[in-house]
Amino acid sequence: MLVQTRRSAGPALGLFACMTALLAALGASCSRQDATIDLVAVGYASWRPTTEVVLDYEIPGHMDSLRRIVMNETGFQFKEGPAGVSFPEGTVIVKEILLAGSGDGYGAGPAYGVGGADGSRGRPNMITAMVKAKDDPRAQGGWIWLMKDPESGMESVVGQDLCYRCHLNANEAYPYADGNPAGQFRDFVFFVPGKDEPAP
Amino acid sequence: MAQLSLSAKINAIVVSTLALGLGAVAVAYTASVVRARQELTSDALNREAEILYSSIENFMMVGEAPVAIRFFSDLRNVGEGLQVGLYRRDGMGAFIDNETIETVNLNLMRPRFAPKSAFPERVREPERPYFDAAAGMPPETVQFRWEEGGRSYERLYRPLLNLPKCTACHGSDHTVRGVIDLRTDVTQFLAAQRSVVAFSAGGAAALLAALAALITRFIHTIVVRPVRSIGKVCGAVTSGDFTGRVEVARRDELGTLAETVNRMVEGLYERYELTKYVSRGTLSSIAGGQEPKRVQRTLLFSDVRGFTSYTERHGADAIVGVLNKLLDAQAGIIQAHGGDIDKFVGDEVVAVFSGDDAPYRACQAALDIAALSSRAAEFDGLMVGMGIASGSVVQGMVGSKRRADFTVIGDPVNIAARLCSAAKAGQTLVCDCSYDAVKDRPELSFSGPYKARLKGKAEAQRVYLLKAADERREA
Ligand code: HEC
Repeated sequence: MLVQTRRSAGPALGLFACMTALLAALGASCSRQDATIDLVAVGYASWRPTTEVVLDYEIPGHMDSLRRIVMNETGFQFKEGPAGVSFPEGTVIVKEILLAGSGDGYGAGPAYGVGGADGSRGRPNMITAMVKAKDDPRAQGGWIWLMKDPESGMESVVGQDLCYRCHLNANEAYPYADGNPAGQFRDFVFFVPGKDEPAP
Repeated sequence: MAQLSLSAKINAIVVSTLALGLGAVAVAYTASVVRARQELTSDALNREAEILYSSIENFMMVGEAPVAIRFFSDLRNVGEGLQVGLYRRDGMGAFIDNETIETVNLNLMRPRFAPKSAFPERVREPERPYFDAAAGMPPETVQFRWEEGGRSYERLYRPLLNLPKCTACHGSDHTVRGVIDLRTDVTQFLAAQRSVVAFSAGGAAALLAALAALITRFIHTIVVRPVRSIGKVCGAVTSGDFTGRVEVARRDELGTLAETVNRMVEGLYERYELTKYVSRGTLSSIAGGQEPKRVQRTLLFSDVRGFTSYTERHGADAIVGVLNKLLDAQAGIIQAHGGDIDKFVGDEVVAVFSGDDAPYRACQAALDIAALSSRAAEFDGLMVGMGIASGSVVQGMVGSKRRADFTVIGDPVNIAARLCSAAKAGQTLVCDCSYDAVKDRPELSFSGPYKARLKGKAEAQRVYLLKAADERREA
């Protein structure tokens, strides 16, 4: 008798367990999940630069920190047609910000590490990168925009339109490289190889 | 107690299951309503900010600050729900003085824009630290809830970048040009949301109560009540009442159980009736194991005298009636003195007495049986002779596997049987082993000893004649 009475609690307990699991699942679906990514290859330092121009002039964003831009070989297969420039899927462009500058730029804020105030060159303070992945839900303008902390190697995709918004200007006339006087579509890239001589 | 806790348990399970189920639904529903509302507001704010961003970007490209100023003051009339503001990156209101125009002219190294003399009213101070987060590095869109003047707002700080195309006029020494301030009044939404929450909570509670009551009632009718009535019948059976029956006219497991219980009670009743015909020794041996054991007992044998001549006189049919009457009377007397009827063999009664005063009680019973002769008319003049013997006997189940009796075997049994057949009508012969145990009792008197030759015994036995009470009085 007793045994049966005990058993009859089984389904009820099961029901409770199901309910709890359901609630837990509901809760879990609400909390957002952080994507762990590894989009920038460790050996990117050996890639070819996209420009010979010394990028130490002042720009909004990085001020006068020294920048170095390199691109993987896939990127150098970019096409240029009547619709403008387009980089193939899998292109990775990395921009290292090497020196801390002055002002409110990336180089100065504690989030980006100060270092290098004496003008020393060495490890980058900050790495930004664009990864061509048209169908990735995180992509804006066909590119995944990300920052990599050189200290920890942690990559984080920029969700807001900060990078994208500024890089939209690469598709119209702008003050850098050749200045894109014709307002050609440049696939959001300021320094397209071969186009870094200012227009006459 | 157990029944009470059964319905309490059922109630607890029903209520908690419903509470969890309905609670989960209500919570999920409310959460989805709240989330949908938040997403709608947030999407709308972001879209509006986007439109403003693009508008400003385009006015400013051509240096149309006056158009921007007009645009912003026109936006104030869009409606009460939406309020728009624009800050410089240091938190000062935009377009409130000539500072920017001066910088631009300086950057362009020519007086491109003429200073203004009239300015729109100042915008209020921005909300730090939200503003600092929006205009900081990296710049990010910040959305927050704001309470002011009893109203609730959903607000958005959208940083405007110093885009490459802006740098010609504004210089490259900063990243954030300004911050758009958008606020939308959500007071009514929140009120509606609160009533949705209250409604779904109340609804869930009401539904819970109603369903719990209904299900509990239902379960009570189909489970608890039948179980209780089964319990009641079983309880009655335990206290010896076999008349109760479970009334459950249903074709489910409980109906089957009720039928089984009813059949069981009937069966129990039959067996209970049967126990009347079985010796107490047999019953207790069934309850307490059937191992044979050696025990001290007093045996009382009685059988009817004048039986043969009675049959000749009245015929075989009449004898059963009167014999049963006589046996019944004897059985009553024996039981009254704590004796146990071991068996009836024809007209013979075999009774066993146990305990310290067994010989004494056997003698008392014999005296009472002998006294039945005073009611001689009732028994058509039939009388019994008796024999009493005490000693060590083996008690156990004797018979076949199919049919066995719990009985006693041993010398005292034989002696009592022989004494009984030696006794004349109305007499009780007692062996010296029983006599020794009772001779000091003033209530009993004996004559003897006599020497008696008993069948199966080589030597003559010393026996005593138990005297009837009236005989004693006379003596
Ligand atoms: C304020 C404008 C601005 C913002 C915001 C901005 N960039 Fe750039 N970015 C530039 C400019 C200008 C260049 C050209 C190289 C230079 O002068 O440093 C550039 C170059 C780059 C390059 C090299 C490819 C190219 O276009 O030549 C990468 C990669 C890059 N940026 C990534 C990012 C990422 C990732 C973000 C967001 C975290 C970002 N940028 C935000 C202005 C900006």
